[in-house]
Amino acid sequence: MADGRFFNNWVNEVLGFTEKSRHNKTFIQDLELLKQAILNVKEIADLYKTLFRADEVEFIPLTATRFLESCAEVAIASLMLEQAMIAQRKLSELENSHIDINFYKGKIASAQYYVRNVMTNVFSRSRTIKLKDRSALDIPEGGL
Amino acid sequence: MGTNFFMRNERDIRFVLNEHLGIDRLLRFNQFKDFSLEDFSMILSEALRIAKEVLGSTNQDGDRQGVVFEQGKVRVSPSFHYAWKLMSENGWTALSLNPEYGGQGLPNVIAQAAKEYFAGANLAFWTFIGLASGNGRLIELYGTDKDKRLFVRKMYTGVWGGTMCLTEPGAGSDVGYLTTKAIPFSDLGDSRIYKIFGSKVFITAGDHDLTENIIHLVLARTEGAPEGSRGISLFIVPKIWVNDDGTLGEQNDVTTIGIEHKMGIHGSPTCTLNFGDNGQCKGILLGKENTGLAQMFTMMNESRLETALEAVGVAACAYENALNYAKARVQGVPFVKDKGIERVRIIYVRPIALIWSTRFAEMQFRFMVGTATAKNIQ
Repeated sequence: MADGRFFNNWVNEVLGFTEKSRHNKTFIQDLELLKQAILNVKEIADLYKTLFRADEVEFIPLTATRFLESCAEVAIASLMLEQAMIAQRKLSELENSHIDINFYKGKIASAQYYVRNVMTNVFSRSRTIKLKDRSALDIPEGGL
Repeated sequence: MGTNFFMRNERDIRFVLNEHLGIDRLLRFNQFKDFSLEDFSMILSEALRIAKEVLGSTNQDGDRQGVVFEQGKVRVSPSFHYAWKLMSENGWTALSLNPEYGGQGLPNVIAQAAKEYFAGANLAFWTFIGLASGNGRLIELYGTDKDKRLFVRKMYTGVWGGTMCLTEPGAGSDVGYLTTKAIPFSDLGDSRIYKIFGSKVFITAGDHDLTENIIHLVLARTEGAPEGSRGISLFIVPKIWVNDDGTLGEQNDVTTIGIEHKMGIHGSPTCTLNFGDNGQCKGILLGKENTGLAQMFTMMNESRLETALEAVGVAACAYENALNYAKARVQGVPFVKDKGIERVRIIYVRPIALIWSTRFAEMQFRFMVGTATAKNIQ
């Protein structure tokens, strides 16, 4: 898997985006949430490496789907914020009566809604994964 | 024709393609030099029109009439035949594929946008096209010149259908346990032709009457092959044998045993197929022995994206329908109190929950695909 090169490139790409856009006042809160979320995702990837080396690999498939969901949500949030910033630029160029005004307003609102209400699931998932919970492995068949 | 529920907002797709991804960059590449942005725009408008006027009106037929399995053969809804003819004759079956074999050579990102419309309009119908062109692509990638000459064009242009045959009664996700066998067909004097013996289940579009032939790609194990997934090979198994000059030969020994009775996509048959019940099923080895799983995963990885894309199409159509309904239906009290207004249209009751939660579903899938396809641009 190229020693995680593609994953690390993506992490750096998202961090670079948050850094480059940090002066955009409309999205300050959203960019900070995005930055925290990508760092959370990276923490889990690092935890997986540790588990692999410590021969505790069984914990990885237990939570891998949730990790991938977190990756997807961060990727989507990042792309939606990119779109929202395009919409922000367009709004500053258009007359208030332009047919696309509400379309672009929708792009900004939906990106902010997504980052604040959906992407924030990354934080609770990350906390859960770090617990290294064994309950699903240890439950006896008769207990199901 | 049934009721047509297909709705789609074209503005959003155009925003993603033009304003976000910047598809004008594609025109710098030699392979796309004959296209223009106007071409892309016209193609997508026409794709949307076909989705609305042709595929959307066949969706309910597929759902209500379903597929019929009689005397070992599967029949699809009659209106699918009209749609198939229109799609195949006008080049909509292989939008981004190689023009040398009948594809349109469009950038993948444009093709994906059109496919999103088609899948949203009639997912059951789209499964037939997706498998035919996907299989053809696998043969183009791994086949010999003769394989390509015999199969690829006819699969890209919708003359023949296709299937991918992995799952068996005793092997699903653990495909390394599959037991379908391939034994050299020494009588024919061609070392690439094998006799295939085995049973495959849950085969999408495994049999139908849309095309004159169906090309099955079958995973099987040759004699002495290593155990597990390292010992799997891939075979081209035509429903009707294809002669060296490209004409159709005898019926191959492939039998449709039955179809699944499902809760959804009734217009698409999910079949159980037997290969070699009479010891005469012929298959052509695709590529090298024991590399079948890797080859199949070329298609599987693309299929994963296609499946996400199909979900986008269906979710987007559902969203547009829900939005339209919410704009018209009076129900409930205002979310924010307003003097003198007691009851309002749904759209005013919980606008955030309604619009953004559904839009989220659409966007989430779209961007998964968008991310992957954007990589193709760079």
